[in-house]
Amino acid sequence: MSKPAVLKRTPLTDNSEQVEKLTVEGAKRLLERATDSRSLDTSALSGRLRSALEKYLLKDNPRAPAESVNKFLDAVHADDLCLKVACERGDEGAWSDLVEGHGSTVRSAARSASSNEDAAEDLAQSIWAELHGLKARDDGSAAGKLAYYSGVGSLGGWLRAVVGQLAIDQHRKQARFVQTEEEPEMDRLSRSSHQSEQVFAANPGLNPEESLASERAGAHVEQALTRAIAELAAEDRLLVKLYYFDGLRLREAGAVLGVHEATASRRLSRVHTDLRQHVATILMNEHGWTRSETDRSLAEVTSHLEVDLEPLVTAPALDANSTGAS
Amino acid sequence: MKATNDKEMELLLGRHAQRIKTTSAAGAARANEGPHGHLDADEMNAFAENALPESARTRYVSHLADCDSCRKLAAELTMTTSAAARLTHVTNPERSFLSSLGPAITAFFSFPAIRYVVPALAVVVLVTVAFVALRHREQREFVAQNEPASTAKPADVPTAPFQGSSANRTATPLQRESGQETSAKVNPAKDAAAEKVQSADIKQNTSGYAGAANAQQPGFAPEPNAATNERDEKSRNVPAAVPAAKPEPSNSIKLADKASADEPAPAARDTLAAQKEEQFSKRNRDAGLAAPPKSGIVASEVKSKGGPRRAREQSESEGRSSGTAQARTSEVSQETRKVSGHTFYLQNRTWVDAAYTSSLKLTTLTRGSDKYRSIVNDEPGLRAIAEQLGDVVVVWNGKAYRIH
Repeated sequence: MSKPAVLKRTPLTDNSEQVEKLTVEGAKRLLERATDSRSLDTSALSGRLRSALEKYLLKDNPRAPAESVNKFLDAVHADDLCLKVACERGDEGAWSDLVEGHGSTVRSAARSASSNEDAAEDLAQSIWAELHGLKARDDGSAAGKLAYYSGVGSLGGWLRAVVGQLAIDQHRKQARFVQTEEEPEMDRLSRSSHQSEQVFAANPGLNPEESLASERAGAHVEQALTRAIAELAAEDRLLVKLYYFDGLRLREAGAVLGVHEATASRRLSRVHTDLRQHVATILMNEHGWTRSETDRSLAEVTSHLEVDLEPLVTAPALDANSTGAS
Repeated sequence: MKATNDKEMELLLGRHAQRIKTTSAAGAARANEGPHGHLDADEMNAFAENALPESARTRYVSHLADCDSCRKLAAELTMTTSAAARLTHVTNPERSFLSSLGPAITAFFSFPAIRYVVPALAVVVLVTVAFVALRHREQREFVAQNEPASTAKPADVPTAPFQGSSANRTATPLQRESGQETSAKVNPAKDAAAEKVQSADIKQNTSGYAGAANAQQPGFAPEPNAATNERDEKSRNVPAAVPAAKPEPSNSIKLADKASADEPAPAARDTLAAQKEEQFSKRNRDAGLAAPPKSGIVASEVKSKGGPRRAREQSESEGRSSGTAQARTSEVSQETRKVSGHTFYLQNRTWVDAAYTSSLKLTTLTRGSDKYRSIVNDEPGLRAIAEQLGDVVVVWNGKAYRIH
């Protein structure tokens, strides 16, 4: 039993012929799997499957075993891919199916990405225009929006992603347009720094010298922390960003990472430990702090943070108000 | 220590994120392109739907960690996807339940705090329950409790009891005595079966004293069925009666059936019972029963003298409950209360201690009087009795008190 498994797992030689063969077989299985193959044949699909395979599997692992190639191909959304290919080929029935089946998806995605109903309507319209545009051109293989759909995820999800990205692009364009008036932002910056000074001033029991020292220590810690975060493993850094920067809940952050909330929680706890160690190492190596000094000043900075937590929390709220007003 | 470290880092990271946000809002950290360029829609979707091979996924993770806009979109898409997935899960409840059970338990115990809080909570709850239960048991003695309606009660309680709800009757002592049997039946007894047997007593007693001769003979046909039925009903009330009840098709049982059949309405029975009482009391007077308090005993003794047949019948119908078939035992379906370990019977709207005999001298206490207070203050049990029962005759430390 173990022998064939071992044989199967032997890596493919960088043999595109063998990959081709596997792809054609995969396309055949896909057509069998699809509830509506839209009278497509394997040749119509194998090319697209091949490029998806290159993009998501062979790029990272050119010598991927046949096992994982087959697994990848069999996970492709058969019906969605068939629908997409049929659309590209100018199949009117497929088009109306696409509009009918996914019109509501596009609309709801546009609504959640836009500030108002009109903007949502515009966004949805421009999506359909982009998707339709390639059909009007009538050269099936040309790179239109729909061509980018690989079948690896669902078509509905892909449409949502397209809407989201289009919304971001539009937002960027607008932002670049508006960016000339930076003055209020500068204002706000100076004001918030002013606020932090006030926080220190309002902190009794700290003479100016002490507060200066602790501020410097705080700056060192901040620097070390920035570096420590940058040097985290990608998964951990993503978790930290999702949780602390984007304000996601642990369950949501876990979902993005594809793990359960409990796993995310455990991972975050470990990241805390790692970060602390890393920060301490940086402080000791580069600023010549002793272990006890590091511990003490970390605790000190933290205790200040606890005191300052309220101003820190309220300040951005004020900022948000002022931006909204301007 | 680990928990404090966690807290420390949480605070530090929170502040750090806050700072980065303010600076990036000023445009400094904008257009932060990741090492691999932005994700296209297909990659984004494949990532959000977790449909990527591990190696490709890792590649995108490092971009998402550094690119704010891609990360936000990916997070949004993941939320939508998982919401949709949850919807499909609902249609598949068994699987989702089973698959979520394991992680749910893990999640429940994942936070260090919760890991200790849950057992601690359990202990607290246990202790509370135990405490409440113990206290409850302590207190119960002092709280008036209604006894189950049908209890075997020794007949040597001196003051003839059970005037109860038939209090509208002017109760001369003799009437009361004679009522020992009858009033229990006249009272709206809760148990129909018991009532039946009791009504058999009426019939029988009457026949025993007044018209014994004709009551004796007519129904002397052995009726095993009726006998068993009667016994069954009886034994349901007083399980202890079963061994004592011999399968003896007696005419008293026959009569019992007859009697209950003859009495259609409680009102009719009432008048009937009243008649019987009258006769009964006359007999008793004739028999020369003098001292009212003792007469309960005497009356039953007289009854037992009524002849071997009657004694047997009586032990059949009355003594079943006691199991020892004593003639002095009578069955009671009467309200009794238990307070501070004393049992009380209601008569003439007064709760009378079961331990009270007329030989004890009654001290009358009025609630609120100094004497009452001085006695009651030292005796919480007595106070509990006084406070929970209205007019009460109680025997306390060998002395009898009437409290009203």
